[in-house]
Amino acid sequence: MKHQQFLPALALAVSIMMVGLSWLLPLSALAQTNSPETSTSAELRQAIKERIEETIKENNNTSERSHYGYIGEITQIGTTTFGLMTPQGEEKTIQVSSDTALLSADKDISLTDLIIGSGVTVMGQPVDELVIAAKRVLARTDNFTENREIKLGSLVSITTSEITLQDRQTQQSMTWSFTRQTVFEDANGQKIAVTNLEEDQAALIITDLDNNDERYIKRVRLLVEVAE
Amino acid sequence: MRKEIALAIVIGIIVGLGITFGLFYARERLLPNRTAEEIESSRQQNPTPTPSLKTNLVVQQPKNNLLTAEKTIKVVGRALPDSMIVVLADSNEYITSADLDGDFAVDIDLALGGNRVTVVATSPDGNQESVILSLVYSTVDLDAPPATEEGETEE
Repeated sequence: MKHQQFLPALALAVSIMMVGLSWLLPLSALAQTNSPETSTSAELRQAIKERIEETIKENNNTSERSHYGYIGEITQIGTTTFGLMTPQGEEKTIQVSSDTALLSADKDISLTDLIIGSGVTVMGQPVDELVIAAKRVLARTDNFTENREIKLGSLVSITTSEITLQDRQTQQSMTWSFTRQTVFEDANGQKIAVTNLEEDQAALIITDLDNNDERYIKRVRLLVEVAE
Repeated sequence: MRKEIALAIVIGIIVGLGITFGLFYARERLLPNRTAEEIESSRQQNPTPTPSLKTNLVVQQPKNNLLTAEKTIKVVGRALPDSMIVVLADSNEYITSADLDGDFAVDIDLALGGNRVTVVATSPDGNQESVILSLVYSTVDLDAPPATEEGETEE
């Protein structure tokens, strides 16, 4: 008798538990399924917006042409082609035909006049990812090397000829000399005198190599307002 | 008799609530991991331009290998907010900074002929990344017959 009444009571309690489960689980399941969908649609909207902006920018750029421009260093010279190593480290093959104008200092040259290791500018159309059909080739003496370096940090000391900067990332101090051509600027880009520089000021320093391969300061941009 | 019935109901409710709470808690704990997996999966399915790891530098404009007849062009991009942006073009340096959204834009002058343009972003903590662009500035009409072309001199 006791068991006959105990079991229905237990069944009632389990039923209450099932109602509780059915109430809680769909809510969490709903939260789980809706979140990624909302996120995905937001990402899609953002991607479409960015694409539209990009297309508008491209359309506004009226100077863009059907031809492309390439620069780099000559790596090899063949009978109708030459190799070009771009600054991005890609090796391209440049096709030269009778329609191609080859120039050096405004004078016509031939393919054999090109020098391996020197720089060259190529205007033409890509045949595929690696081959360019050249319409115009301009030879030059240098090879587009970039020697300038940029350092961000705090000024440690300023003398009449040298500046020491503590690099913000490495915490190392570096000293370079500056010249009469060195440009000193405040935070707004206005020219200032070297005497306006003070220790502990945050600064961006651009250095370059001189003819003796010595690094010197080309430009100093303070990142803080200069006291009057 | 009534005591036993009431006891059974109470025990059932306690057990039921315990199981329900356990399931709910377990689901809440698992939810962040699953979301992260979904985000990673979404990234793999829709790869975006690979930004630099340190400063998230992306140059949106101009495109690499642009051939332009305009001497002055606008360099547009995005990096970490408040990053210092230096554009090295020809013998000049153009300095600006990314705004709070990380956006930056700066006008630069190109030299006649080939230009190696380097965009350098330095984050507030000193991390640095750069993007190199090959740009050519030429006023010559490449579609015109060779006889009508004007010469141009590079350095």
